[in-house]
Amino acid sequence: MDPKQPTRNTAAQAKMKAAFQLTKPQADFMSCILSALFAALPAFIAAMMECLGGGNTPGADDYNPGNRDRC
Amino acid sequence: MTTVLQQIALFRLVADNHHVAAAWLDHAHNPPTLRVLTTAPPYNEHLAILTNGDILPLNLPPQLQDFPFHLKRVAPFHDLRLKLPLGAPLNANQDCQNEPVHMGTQLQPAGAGWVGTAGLPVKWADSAGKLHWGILSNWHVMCLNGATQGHPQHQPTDAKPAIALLADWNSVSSVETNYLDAAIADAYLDGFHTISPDIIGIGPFGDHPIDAAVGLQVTKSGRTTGRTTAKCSAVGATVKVGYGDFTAIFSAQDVFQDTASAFSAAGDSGSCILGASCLCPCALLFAGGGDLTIGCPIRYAIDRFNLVFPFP
Repeated sequence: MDPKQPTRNTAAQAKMKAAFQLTKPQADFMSCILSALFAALPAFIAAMMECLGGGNTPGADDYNPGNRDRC
Repeated sequence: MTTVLQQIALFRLVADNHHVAAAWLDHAHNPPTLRVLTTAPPYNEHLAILTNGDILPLNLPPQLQDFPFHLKRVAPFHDLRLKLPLGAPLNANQDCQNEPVHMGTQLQPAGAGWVGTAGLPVKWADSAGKLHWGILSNWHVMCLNGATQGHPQHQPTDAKPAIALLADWNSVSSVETNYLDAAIADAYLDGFHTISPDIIGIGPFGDHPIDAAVGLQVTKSGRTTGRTTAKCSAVGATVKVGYGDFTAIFSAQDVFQDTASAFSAAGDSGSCILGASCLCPCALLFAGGGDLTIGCPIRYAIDRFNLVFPFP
């Protein structure tokens, strides 16, 4: 067998690889979308927590009213 | 809608005429009318005032010369903090409170020679996104000369423990146009927030801010006059306010007129003006004179301090 000739198996792999290979504009687009999604993730989680009554931005104090005698 | 050029012209009208206390374009009238409040007797035929029997025309910028006008005499406007000494407490707004302290209460910065009102419980996000809970009041109530972060704010006077520490402020200029006289103080002390979500005589307030509009019925709870009501008589007004040792000019302010008893008096500075029906914050009371009260639109404070609603 000529080692330079691709086997049926490696040809299928190359075809598969080509199918999943993104063009540069596609890669840029995906990169942009993923960056935006990851950037929005903390705000999304905070909004979800707020909607669920879970409170505040992670790391912030909760509102904790005191009951101390001042007078 | 008053244009930017017209706002600049209104500033010039108020700044260049000693006897003009306020001016605005009344768009509720057709055609829009230039309304001018003067501290001297008005002479409406020629947009002038009377001084010592003489007719003194007002210096009117060209951008305002085509509008029909109406002049009205008023008392000069001044800030509404109350200078010491104080008498005995006369209402619940002046009494000492245990925690959690309701807003609308008397407030004194440590060492200040005056008191004002802690107007509204507010929540804000700092530059790192961390939330804080504290008090919204006026710059001229919470800040001494050379204000520093962390300056203690006491209720009802500095003879009692502090309830908040000065966090941020928007100071007032005597040379540039102003939009906001406000400051915030963080009420988180020793592991607890000292303040309640309620306002004295009102209870919980509305969960969203609103803009004032001419005719809007409003209410407030303040240190001196307690809970009172008024009606919005102008928005977008340019106003001259005396601060004792200097005078400042504010643009785009809300004006409120007494409907029954006096809406405000010295000591009520810092009160939050709420729409009477929804109890939604609409302005921050900071000045007045005669039967008129001046408030900064609450949206300026929201933008300046990143306030977040609803509270808490």
